[in-house]
Amino acid sequence: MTITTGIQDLGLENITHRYNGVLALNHVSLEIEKGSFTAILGPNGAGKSTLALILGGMLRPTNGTVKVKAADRSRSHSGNGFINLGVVLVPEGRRLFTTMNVKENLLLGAYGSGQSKVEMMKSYEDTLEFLPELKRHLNKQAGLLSGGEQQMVAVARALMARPTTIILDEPSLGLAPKMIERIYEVISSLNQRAMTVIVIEQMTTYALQHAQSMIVLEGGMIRYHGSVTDAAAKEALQAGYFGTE
Amino acid sequence: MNFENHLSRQLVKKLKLIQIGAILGAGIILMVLLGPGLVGSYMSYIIDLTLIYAIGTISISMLANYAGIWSIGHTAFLAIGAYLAANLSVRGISVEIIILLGIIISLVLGVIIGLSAGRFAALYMAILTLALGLVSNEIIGRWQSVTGGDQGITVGPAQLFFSNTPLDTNGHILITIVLVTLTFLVVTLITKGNLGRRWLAIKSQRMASMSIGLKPSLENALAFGISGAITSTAGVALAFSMMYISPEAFSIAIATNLLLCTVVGGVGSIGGALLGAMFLVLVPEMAREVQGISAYVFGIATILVLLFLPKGIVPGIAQRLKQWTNKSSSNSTSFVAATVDNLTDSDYENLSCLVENLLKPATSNLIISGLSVSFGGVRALDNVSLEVPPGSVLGLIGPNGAGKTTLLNVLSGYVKPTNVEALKLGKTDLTRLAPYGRVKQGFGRTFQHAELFDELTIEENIFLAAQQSKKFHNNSKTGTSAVDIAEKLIDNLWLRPYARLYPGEVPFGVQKVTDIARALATGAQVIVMDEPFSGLDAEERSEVRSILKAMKNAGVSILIIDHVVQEVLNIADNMVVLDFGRVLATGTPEDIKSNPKVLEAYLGSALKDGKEVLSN
Amino acid sequence: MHDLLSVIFSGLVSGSLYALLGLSIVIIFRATDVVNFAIGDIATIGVYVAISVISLGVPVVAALPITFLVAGIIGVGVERFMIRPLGPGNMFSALIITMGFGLVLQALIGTIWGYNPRPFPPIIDGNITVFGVAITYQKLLATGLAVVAMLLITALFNWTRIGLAMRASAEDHFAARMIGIKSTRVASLAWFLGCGLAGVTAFIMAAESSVSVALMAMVLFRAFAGVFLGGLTNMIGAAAGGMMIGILDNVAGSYVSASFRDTMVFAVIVVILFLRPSGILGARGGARV
Repeated sequence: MTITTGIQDLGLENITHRYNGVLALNHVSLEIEKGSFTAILGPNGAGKSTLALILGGMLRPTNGTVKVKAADRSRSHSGNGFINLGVVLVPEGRRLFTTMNVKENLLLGAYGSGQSKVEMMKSYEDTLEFLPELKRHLNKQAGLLSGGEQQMVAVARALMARPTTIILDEPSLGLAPKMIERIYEVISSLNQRAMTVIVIEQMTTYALQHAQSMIVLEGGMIRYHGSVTDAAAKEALQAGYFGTE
Repeated sequence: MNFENHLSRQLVKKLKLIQIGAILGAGIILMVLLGPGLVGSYMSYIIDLTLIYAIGTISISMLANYAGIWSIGHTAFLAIGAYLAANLSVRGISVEIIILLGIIISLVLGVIIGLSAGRFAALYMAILTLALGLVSNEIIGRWQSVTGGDQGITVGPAQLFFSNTPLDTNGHILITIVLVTLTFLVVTLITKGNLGRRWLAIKSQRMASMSIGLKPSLENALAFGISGAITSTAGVALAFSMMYISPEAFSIAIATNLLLCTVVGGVGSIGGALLGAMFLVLVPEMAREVQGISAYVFGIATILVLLFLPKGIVPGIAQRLKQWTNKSSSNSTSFVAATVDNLTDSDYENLSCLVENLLKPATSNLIISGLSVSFGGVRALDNVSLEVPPGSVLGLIGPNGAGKTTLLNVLSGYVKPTNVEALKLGKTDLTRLAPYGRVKQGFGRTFQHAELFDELTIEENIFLAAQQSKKFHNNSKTGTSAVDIAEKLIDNLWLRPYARLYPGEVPFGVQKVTDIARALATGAQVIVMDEPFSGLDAEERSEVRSILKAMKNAGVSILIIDHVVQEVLNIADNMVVLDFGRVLATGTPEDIKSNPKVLEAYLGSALKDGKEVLSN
Repeated sequence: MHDLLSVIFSGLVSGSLYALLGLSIVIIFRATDVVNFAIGDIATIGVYVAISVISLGVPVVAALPITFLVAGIIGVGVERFMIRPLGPGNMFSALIITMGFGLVLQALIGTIWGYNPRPFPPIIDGNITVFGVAITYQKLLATGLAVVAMLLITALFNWTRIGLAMRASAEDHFAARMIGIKSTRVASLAWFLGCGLAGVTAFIMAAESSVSVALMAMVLFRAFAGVFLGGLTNMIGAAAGGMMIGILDNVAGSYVSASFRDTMVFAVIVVILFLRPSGILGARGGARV
């Protein structure tokens, strides 16, 4: 089903996760190919955010194996995720440092990737060149920006770490359609620059316009994993959201 | 099954009686031993002092364990009792009146301070009590006409109300014994009774506690006041036993030691409080030769206990013992989960009969119009209007971030609207009502994460709600007691096997059903439900589905939000779809299912123009 | 009028100390959620060690950095060996463990250096007249020190990488972890800085009078009062709150009653809490949904 030509970037094998006994993910296995653009879709409570945290290394699953660039990383949790392996997470709700200004937020993004001061300033310039609309806001407090601008800062902060893989959890949440389009434009162009992209979305429109492969998650299980153009894709989506009764 | 349950209930009552009996018995034995002076005078002095401080440690312990308030300044209350005793005894006023005055003054002071800090974090409260302790030192030092300043003040002999002869030393010990016995009785009654349950409920879930009608800031203030009042009686006893009091008895050092020893002994246990008091008295007595030894002992003991027996010595050891015996007597706690795959028609009939008995049919419309809520510039709800006719089910759906939970929180009174034209239940205006005021109007609430009171059993969770509702609607549903209501809910909602377990020990589905039972027990006529189906498996869903059906049949109004859209569509009479804080569509479930705007909001255009997107 | 000005001025002078100590409390709380009740005792032992070192012939100037280092290092040890093992979410156990440790430190000071107050070598003599009040150079120097310390902290938190990381970690532990900030390192550093700065406060206090076990008791109470007004998580608030308490304390002491200063400060705090439960500056707009 999946395109199997490439190299594995992230891999989950038989992942099960429980929060205080409540089952969130149930035997989930998947492979994310290097340089691919994957959309993980499903209704709320399907386990998407849990999956995002596990892929980003911010949560250790109750059971199962997590592989990053083919190496088993299930047990190597420093509490800092996989940022030093080039995998960054843009979490749900963005989680910017809202009382700090945009420049400070961006510089902090490079913190965990071991860049020297010179490298960090280079990353900073590159990021601003890639997202020039942020230049106007550098000295503004992040919490005072609009939702769309904040999302852009969150993406920029992630890029400061010079990642190979970026995971975005609900990047379109609460944004106006125009802003969502711009975010996806940015995400796509990252993918065109050979970055592996994973977006997690409840709302499917934009994600499906850009992604090559999709995963439908429902009730903590994978209901569909394959190309977005397959005939089964639409059916899987409908069933995932409105039930199969 | 019922018989067995009846039996265990009696057993619990019996245990409480045994504890009360034990306290009384211990009190009498102490009186016999110490009253006539059978024990040497030094020994009886030590026992006297230990008992006096036990009054202090138990009141600090009760406050910390049940209300979650850690007091570093309880010496202030000790001082109130002591200086009252000193000043009034010389004027010939009897002990009983002094004690009463001390209790009243301390209660009032405690409630006032509690009200100022009880509204927010318990951490601030702790710092404020430290300030109280420091300030009391200043007042003692400076208000010399009453306290004698640094010199201290002598205390007149104690005089009983019905007797003309002053008491001697042995008589003073009797006062202590009577006071400590009464204290332990009162503390047992409070902590095993309703007050204790209410405090525990508020401590663990402040928000949910309001949804069954509790008033957290008031209860916190009350807890602090009662604890202070009890401590003041120790002050009176201390004054009479020492015959002389000096400011050092109420210094910050003593206040610190009092708290540390309570922690070392273990909070929330009478044994712990006694051990703590013993520690507090014995260590300085035994280390009198060298200055500073007791500080080392207290400090190091605190550090070691918190690191290795975090609950304190007595509860910590009790827990270890329990684990040990449990391990040896096989795992008796594993239950065969009560499943409902064999749910029969008669089960359902019983259930709906019960629900019908508990709930009042709604009589009035719930009306919301022109409701807007903003959080720091972000509009969570924008000019929302909707109506729930009595006895109908309104389903509320919408994508993530659409403002659904905010709407529920406005209805429950947790979030204040930025703007609203009308928020009414029939003719009653709800806008200015606090959460507990709305409970009185017949509002019930369930929570997405169940939010049960962690330190109460499943049974107690439901019982507490039933009992609060008795207070609000004393005319309703002739005569059934709160216990009966709780029992029936437990039996009919398949909770029996879990009744005596704590929320942390039961599956999430059971927690959610308990949360619904709690709302049912309040006897509400409008029930607001936040995601009753989320996180449940198929079996549990069918359980919740039957309960909802029974609620609907009983004629209550229900407002339900859930991401499990198909469940909402099945049960609802009317639907409202929210998107970006606005009402996107209203109509019957059938209308909604085929409404293109709704499909787009939910799935985006993927489904609508599905073929285009999916085929390119 | 002239009189009131001078009262306010001396209020600011003592307020700067409350502000500095309040800042130390807040730095530790923001990083680790611990109200450190041993902070006064840790600072005091730093001063005692400094005195002992000076008596060996080391110049008086060295006393300040010695105090800072000793207090800071003890702080790091406390966090590492008593707070961290408790695990997260144990606010009250942490608070009480610091109370217990404070008690041990007090006893230790008594055992090593005795319970009687010790003189501290004067740093500078003479005085100056401001607003009609004579102010010793010593006091002026003390205030200057406190202000410089606060400016340095401001610079650290705004313009250095580690300072930024500490602010980030205080604001959102999860997001900070996510971008690679090590929470253990932030915790150690916060305790080092917090306790070290408290050491500076203790040094200034000692230089003004003498050293005793109870050196910090009065300042600590007022610093807490300032933190109350400013909020436990607000650095600027805690500093401003400390200044306000300094003024309030002096005004109440001069115009209402000199004997009941603590009581007055306490009463004002209780009234303020009734009016504004989150303090004057703290915890605004905290509604996260």
